[in-house]
Amino acid sequence: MIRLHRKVPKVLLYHSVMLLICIFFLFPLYYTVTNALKVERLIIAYPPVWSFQPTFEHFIKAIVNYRLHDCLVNSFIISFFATMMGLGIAAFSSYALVRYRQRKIALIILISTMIPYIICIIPLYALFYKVGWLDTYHGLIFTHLIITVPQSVWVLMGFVEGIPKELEEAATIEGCSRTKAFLYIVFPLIKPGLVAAGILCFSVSWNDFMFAAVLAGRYTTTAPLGLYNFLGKQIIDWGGVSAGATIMIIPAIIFVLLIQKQLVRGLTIGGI
Amino acid sequence: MLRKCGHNMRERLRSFGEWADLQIKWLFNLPLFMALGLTVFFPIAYAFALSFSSWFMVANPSPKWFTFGNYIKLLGDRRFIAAVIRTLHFTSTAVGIEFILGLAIALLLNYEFKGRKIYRVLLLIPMMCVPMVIALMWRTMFNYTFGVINYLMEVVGFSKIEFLGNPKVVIFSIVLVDVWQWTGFITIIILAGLYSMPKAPLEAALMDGANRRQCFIYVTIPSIRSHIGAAVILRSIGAFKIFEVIWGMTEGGPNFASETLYPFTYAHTFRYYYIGYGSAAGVVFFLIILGINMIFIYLRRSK
Repeated sequence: MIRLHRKVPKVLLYHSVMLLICIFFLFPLYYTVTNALKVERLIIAYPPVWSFQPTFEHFIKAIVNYRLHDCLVNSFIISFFATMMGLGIAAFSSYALVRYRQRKIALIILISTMIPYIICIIPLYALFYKVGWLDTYHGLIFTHLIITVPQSVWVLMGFVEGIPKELEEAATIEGCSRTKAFLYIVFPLIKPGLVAAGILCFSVSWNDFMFAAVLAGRYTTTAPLGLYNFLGKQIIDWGGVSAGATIMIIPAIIFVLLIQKQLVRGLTIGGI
Repeated sequence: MLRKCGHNMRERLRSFGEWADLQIKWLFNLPLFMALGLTVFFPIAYAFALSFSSWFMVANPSPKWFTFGNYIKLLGDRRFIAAVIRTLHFTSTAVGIEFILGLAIALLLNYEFKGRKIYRVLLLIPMMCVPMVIALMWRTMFNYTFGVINYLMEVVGFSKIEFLGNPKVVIFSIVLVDVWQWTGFITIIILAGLYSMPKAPLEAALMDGANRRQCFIYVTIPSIRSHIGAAVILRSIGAFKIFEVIWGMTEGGPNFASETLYPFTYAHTFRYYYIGYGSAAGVVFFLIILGINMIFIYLRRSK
């Protein structure tokens, strides 16, 4: 009985501290979503209004005037293909890097996950300008490989390391070639790794603003760039910005809730 | 004749298979080398070359070789020096706060109580939001006339502050946003360390009569040292490379007071089109990041 008495307040304390922290972390999201539902007049009201009649005019404006859905589609196309290509390359090379202990190449991969991407974009911009690849899907997908290839190789290497070598050795003794051993034994085993790496790459590539700001144009505007273009030269359309932000936050939240396990795995393996 | 040919082909194919098996090390890496070479190594080499050229892209269609002028100019450029110092200042402040906060939250979540998993998931959300969205969200909140943060300041009893308009304050506003965005990352990494920590040493220490604080300093911290190192260095590199949040909130202003290295490089190359000068800044930036990377690699080695 006594123990119970001592334990209950402690749990309450943990919960209240964590709730305070979570309010700090979630309040901006709440504020943005409510702003998106307010009429323009109420957004710029001071002090802030907390109860109001919700309206969807800003969402309609974001779609009709700013064509945010086109940007989302562009973003999806670019991130999806870049991620797939990255994974395809990484599946093979992560295996080779781990099994043949190519330490130096692994080191180069690690370094390339962390370079400031702008140093690659400056020359690529000059080059694309000459070749006419500015404002094209293939140009953007090509540059997004800068992000996805090293990231996915690095995460996948962590997974390949966890696969016992004996499995393949048994297969090769049975008369299987190494390539086949890879395709039929190792490849199915690293599928969870492919998922984790894919999620990480996709989100990094989706979040990118700089590549698009430099290389995209009217036809390939990605979602972050499209949202940035909401900001006018003089007047800022706060309602439109909040609505666009809301549209982009909600998939992120659903994404996190659905795949948090793989996400944590990808992050920790990539980190350590 | 035909059969013989087929036999020959099969033989050849088999020997090709054997050859491929021997060369697997390089064959499997071939796509990687091609992709990395085209997207990373070649551009970096080209950027190094460009940093020795003078190229104002609006006026000239091609670069003018060969000059050391860019680097000399960088050394004398007050805006650049200020940007470097500001980047260091920003990184140390932001990562310091994130680390203390992240460690505290991780330790809190290490206690077993019902519902702690929900908090861990909630902490992941800011990290997964698009940085440009984060920038615009906070830009609304920091607004001087109607922003909610100024409202809260007034409720608590302070007067309004121009969070994004005051050159002395603006960098701390960005630190706050960075803390909001990335504390969860440090928490996740340290939590992974705490979960993988063996229980035995802690119990042994408790048996020997160590108190809680001693346990924490002498047992817990050393055993999650590598996780702490990884989290802090990865975050430092991330903070060094901050761009979207600053660009979305202030574009480096007011009066360049929130301009770190990345926005500096970006502005010079893609806003003023001084490609040569921008490349030189980019190269310096790259070398600094490479240096921090080396520390990271050294730490991994020693582990």
